[in-house]
Amino acid sequence: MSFVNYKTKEINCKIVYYGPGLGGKTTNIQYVYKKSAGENKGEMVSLNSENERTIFFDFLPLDLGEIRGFRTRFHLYTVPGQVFYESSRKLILRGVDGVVFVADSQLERMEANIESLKSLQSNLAEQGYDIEKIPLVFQWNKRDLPNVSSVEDMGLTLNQFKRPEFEGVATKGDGVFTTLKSITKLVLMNLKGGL
Amino acid sequence: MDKIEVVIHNFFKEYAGLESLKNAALLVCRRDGVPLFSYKTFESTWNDSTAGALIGGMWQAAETLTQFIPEVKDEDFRFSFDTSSRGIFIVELSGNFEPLYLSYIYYNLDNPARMKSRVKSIKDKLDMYLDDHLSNVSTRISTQEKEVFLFSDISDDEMDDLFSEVIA
Repeated sequence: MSFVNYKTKEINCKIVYYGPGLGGKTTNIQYVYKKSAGENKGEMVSLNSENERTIFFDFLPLDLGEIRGFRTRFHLYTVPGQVFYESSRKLILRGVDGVVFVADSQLERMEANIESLKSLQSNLAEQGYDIEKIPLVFQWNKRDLPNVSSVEDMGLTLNQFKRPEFEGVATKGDGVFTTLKSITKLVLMNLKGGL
Repeated sequence: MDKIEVVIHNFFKEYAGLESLKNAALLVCRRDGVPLFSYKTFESTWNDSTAGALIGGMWQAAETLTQFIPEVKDEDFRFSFDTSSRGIFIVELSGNFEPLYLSYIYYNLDNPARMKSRVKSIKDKLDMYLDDHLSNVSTRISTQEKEVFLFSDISDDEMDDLFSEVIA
């Protein structure tokens, strides 16, 4: 749930990176962390296993600049992608303002993408959110790998909601900030409460 | 500041005694980790947002775990992770307001139990204070306000400006 502080003119919002395991959610926010100027970012916290798989969440607080006099702070979270961490995903979605769905473009991961998207839809619904109304963007990650689905197939299969979609190679940073900028804009434009 | 944040700050301003805290930090945050108040007696490179995110996550994970316990009813749980002299102690503020957590992080204490008891006492007072002071002030955005968007439109140029300072 966003937090607009009219007196100090600050906005806090929560963005969650969702998607199948090993799809590149953590890599996305690691890249944001690496490329963000020091004064704009806080510590990145990763609660992961010995082999660096996320087991609870990754968290990165990011101070963006000002927009129309409001200072903006975004809290970026990733969920654990592995199927058996469903209860953790539900917790992390609480109070979410916007979702980035990071899909793995490899053909053999399409089923995992579909399963993860279904889980997102039902977990959002469980908390009173409608996936058709919440700010949501898609990132087709790993476009540099061989044997990837076409962008058209990715869109037809996963993006039935006709939300913004971007190609990405998170390991190189391609598409990372474009995706973040897009979800940030949608979240800001979805904030309630007139000036 | 937001109304609830102002009320919490006022409470701690009026509450004489924080100055006597030693080797400790006190943080009030929302369920989603957004910090509303913090007081530290030691230097830390951690910012409040990071601590808040972890506190919110820990509490909610622990709360979910209680579903394993048979016959749990509406009870006042507290979260404690500690050694004999250092640790983390979290309680949930309860009243007619959104869920909030009061956490106490401490080190090098001879008698942490006494401080935990004091934190519980602060919690009780803060619960009452929030109920009293928020009763006349709506902490929720009115229906009319809810239907109005804060920004009617944002241009791509504004977004570029917003990100221009971020990317190193």
